[in-house]
Amino acid sequence: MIVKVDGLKKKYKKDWVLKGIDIEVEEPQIIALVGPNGSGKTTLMNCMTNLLTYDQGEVELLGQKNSDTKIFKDVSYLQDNRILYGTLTAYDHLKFICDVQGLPKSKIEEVAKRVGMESYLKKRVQNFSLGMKQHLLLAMVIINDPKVLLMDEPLTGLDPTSAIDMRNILLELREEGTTVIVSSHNLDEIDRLTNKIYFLKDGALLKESLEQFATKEYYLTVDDLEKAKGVLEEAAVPFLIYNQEQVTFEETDVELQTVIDHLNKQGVAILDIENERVGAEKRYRELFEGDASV
Amino acid sequence: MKLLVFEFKKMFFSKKFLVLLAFLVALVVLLFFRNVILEDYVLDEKQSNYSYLVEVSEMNNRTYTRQLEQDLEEGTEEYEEIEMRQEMNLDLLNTADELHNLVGTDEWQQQLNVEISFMEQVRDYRMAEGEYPITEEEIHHTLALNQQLLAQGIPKEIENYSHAPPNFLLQVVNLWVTLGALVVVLLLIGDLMTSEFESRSINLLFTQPFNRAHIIVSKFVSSLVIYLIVLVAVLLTALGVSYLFGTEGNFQYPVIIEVDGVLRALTSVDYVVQAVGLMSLMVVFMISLYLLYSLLFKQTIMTLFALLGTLLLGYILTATFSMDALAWFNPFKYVLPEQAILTQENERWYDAIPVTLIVSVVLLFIASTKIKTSKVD
Amino acid sequence: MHKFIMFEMKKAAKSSFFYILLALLVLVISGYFIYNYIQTERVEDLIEEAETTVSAYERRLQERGFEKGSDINDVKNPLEAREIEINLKFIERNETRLQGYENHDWKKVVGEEIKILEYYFERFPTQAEEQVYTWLTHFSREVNLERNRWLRDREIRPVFPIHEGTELTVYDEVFDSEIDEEAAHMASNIHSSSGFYFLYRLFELFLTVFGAAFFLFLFGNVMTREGLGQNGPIHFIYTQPVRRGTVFVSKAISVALMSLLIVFSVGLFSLLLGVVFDRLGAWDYPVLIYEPEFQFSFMLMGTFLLWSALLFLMVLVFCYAWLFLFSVLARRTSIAIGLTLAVAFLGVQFSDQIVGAYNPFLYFNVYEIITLETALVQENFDINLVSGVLSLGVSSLLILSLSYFILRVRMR
Repeated sequence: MIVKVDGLKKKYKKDWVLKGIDIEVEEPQIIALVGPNGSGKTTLMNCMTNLLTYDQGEVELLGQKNSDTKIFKDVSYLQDNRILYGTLTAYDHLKFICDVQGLPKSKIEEVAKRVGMESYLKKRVQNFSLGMKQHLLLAMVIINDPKVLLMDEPLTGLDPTSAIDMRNILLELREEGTTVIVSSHNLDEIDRLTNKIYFLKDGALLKESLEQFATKEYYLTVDDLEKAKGVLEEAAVPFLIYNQEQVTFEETDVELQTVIDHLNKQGVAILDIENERVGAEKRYRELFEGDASV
Repeated sequence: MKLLVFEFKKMFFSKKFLVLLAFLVALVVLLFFRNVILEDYVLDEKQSNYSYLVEVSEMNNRTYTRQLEQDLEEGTEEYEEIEMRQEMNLDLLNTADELHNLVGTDEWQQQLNVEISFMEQVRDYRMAEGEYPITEEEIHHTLALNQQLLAQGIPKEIENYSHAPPNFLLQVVNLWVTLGALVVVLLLIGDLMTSEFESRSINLLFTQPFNRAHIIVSKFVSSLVIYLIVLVAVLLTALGVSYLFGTEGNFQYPVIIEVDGVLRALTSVDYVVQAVGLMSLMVVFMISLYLLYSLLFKQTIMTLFALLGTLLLGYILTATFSMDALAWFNPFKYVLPEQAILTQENERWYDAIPVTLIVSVVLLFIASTKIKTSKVD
Repeated sequence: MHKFIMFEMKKAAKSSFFYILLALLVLVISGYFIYNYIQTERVEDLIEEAETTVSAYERRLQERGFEKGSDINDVKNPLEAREIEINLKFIERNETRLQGYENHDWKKVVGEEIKILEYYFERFPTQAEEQVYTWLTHFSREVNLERNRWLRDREIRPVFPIHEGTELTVYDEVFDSEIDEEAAHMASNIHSSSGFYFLYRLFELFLTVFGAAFFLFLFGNVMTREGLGQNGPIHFIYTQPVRRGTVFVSKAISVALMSLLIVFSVGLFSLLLGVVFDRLGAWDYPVLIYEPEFQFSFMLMGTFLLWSALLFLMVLVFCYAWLFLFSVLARRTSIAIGLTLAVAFLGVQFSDQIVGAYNPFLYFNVYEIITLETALVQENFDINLVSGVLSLGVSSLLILSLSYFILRVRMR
């Protein structure tokens, strides 16, 4: 068993933040952990890595109790950038990890190249931008080629290029047999990373495969928007107007061909069709609709 | 004004302030009960001190006897001198013995009188080149205090072990003005400004529509108010606990001070007012200096080091070079205000009040100007 | 473990504040060295002094019409003869000194002082017959004589002045007048720019509660910079394959090691200043150690400095233990340092009331412990280096364990 969380419960003062979490991972894969702010994602990860004590339950990573710090040779945890030492350089951080874990120094150059941070490897962290810090954090957790990688909001502060790089690295890691559990608010990215998604709602975990929610959203550009509106309303097709210029609807609500037929029949010309894959976002909206924090 | 309330609330409702306040109150209460518990012990100490003096006299006596019997011829000048010293020494022995027996009795007037004659005898004996382990300073001080006590009809309290309200208050005030207040202020305002820079929360204040100088003023005023609250709490606790559980006392109890080489008495009320006043003035100076330093260094540990370093340096300079003429210009005179009151050699306790105030205002002004161009690194 | 210690040291060494403080320390030491250099009594000054004295006495003789070298028996008036004899003796003494100074014959110089004191002790051989409490006590004179004998026997170049008033001991309890008191303190306050003696004077200031305060600032944020209780760097450390106890212990060890290194470097730097600008001085210079009942002995200055540094390091460890405890409790640098300073100052202030060798606060005055002055004053000779190291060590361990326990409990 790669990851085994059994009945994990955690209480803050009087409130239960985690009400019995179970996770079992047997095959290497990427799992996304999603929930609104304050839903306990970070708390769950902190408990899993024994950074926080918990009131009930057990956690095993790679078949070992999480209280055994030896697991961190094969388990990495990407946390927020407050864990960095401002006065030290990126190199100092990586060298320390190499020292402690007995990794060869050559790993530092290697991982710096992989993450794309060679140019500021020897600079002090206090002068880093948000994105640079995020690169360092990533380098710090993949330098030991972990078998389990926990990531708390890894995309914070990354520019689009870096975000794409990060995604590619994660996909590579999965190919190499790493299990990644990643929390993120970026639902588009999650769609691109994985189908496995765990929603954290009211301290409980809803484990779902996105396959069943995976859907496409269509955006149609038409020559006469007002007319199209009238036609579709009459045909009782669920749709929305996007950005005052496009007609948009979801595949699960109505077939594309049906809509095209309706419009063509009434002489509305379709100039362009775009589509986007949505799963995470749709399911998220369903689950947390009405939550103040959404 | 809103900023002031905001700053004050931040400080007043902080866990640190409440814990510190509770801790100080507890400390004062503990100190009082320490005095109560150790009463017998202190009396024992006093008694054994007198027995020690009796022993000293006995030893001296044996030496004189031997000298008279063996080394010296009767009738010589030296012989008579030794004989006279032996006599004086025997008087001392008797008086020390009497004092020993008086410890712990209710006859306080007699105790004072006997102690006076004892000190006078020691003085005479030492003048006649006798050997006795009591310093001139102690003799003068005891004489002045005892005479004052007799004149006013106040029984003597043991210093630092009293349970009478005025004397316990004196003890607490003395602790307060010797480093006590300094440490409390350090704990209260330690990261008042620097933490704002370290956590960058100062940027919140910097992006609000008011004059940045207000930040300095409101931080200054609120920390001063917080200091005063702590001070009042400590003094009230001291008075309260000693009224409730202590013995009766007299607020006219004299504190002996030295003015231009002459010993004088100050009532304990006057002493408390002066000492607390001067210390509070020093606190004003400290807070101003802290605010300026925190703008310069923007880092807690460096700011605190610079602040304490400056005070220490100022104190060392004040202590090493007696600056009688410069007393008016020395803003560090009240780092330890106790000394400024107890010994006033060619200077008065109030000399440095204006300069301390002026320097504080100047420091605040510089800080207010500096903050206008201040940035988070 | 050693990787962690190295990492801790790197963290400390990479902060600019650390360097500013060290630079300040170097500056203060250099400043104090300059002060000592100026205050040092040089041989040239001594020669000049002796020459002036000799010529003054010779002038006096001339005024009396006495030719140097003529027979004293020729003088008829016995009173005058006695006076001339004394004058001649002074001249002779100073000429001997002069010769000693000029030829750097320290044995001769010290020998003169020994003669003076030996003559004194012929007249007052025992304690009881002379000053017991009033400066200059019989005891202090004895110390002076033995010190000079030590210097003579080991052929050590003395640190001047060495005249009979230069030892002020705890037995000098009272003074006849304020002028006496001032003179006594002046005469016994001896400065020298020679390496060992300078270090001796420097450590007298540095190995105190003030030195401890300096180190507290130097390492004040060693725990708090890990961001306890706010997902700080400690979370990064905790996700490394190392036991948490190791992290804590290596922090304690690294601050202790760095302190050791700094104290050692301060010593080396001081000796170096001495060597470069004056001389190394004698490592076997005598330092007074009190013993019960008017007895005393001497310790080699080198040994004395070493023991003092050792005890001071234990005092530092004790302070760090409090610092760790308050860091874990308050999680803020300013409070941790403030409370530690408060505990140290209050502890020292009230320590005289809790008598007993087990009280760790008793050992903050390092010099007074090693010389056994505290032991003598408190009439408890259990108060010494060994019990100091034990008492400080055990209490530090207890406080550190408590801190670690709290750190573990507060992980929520």
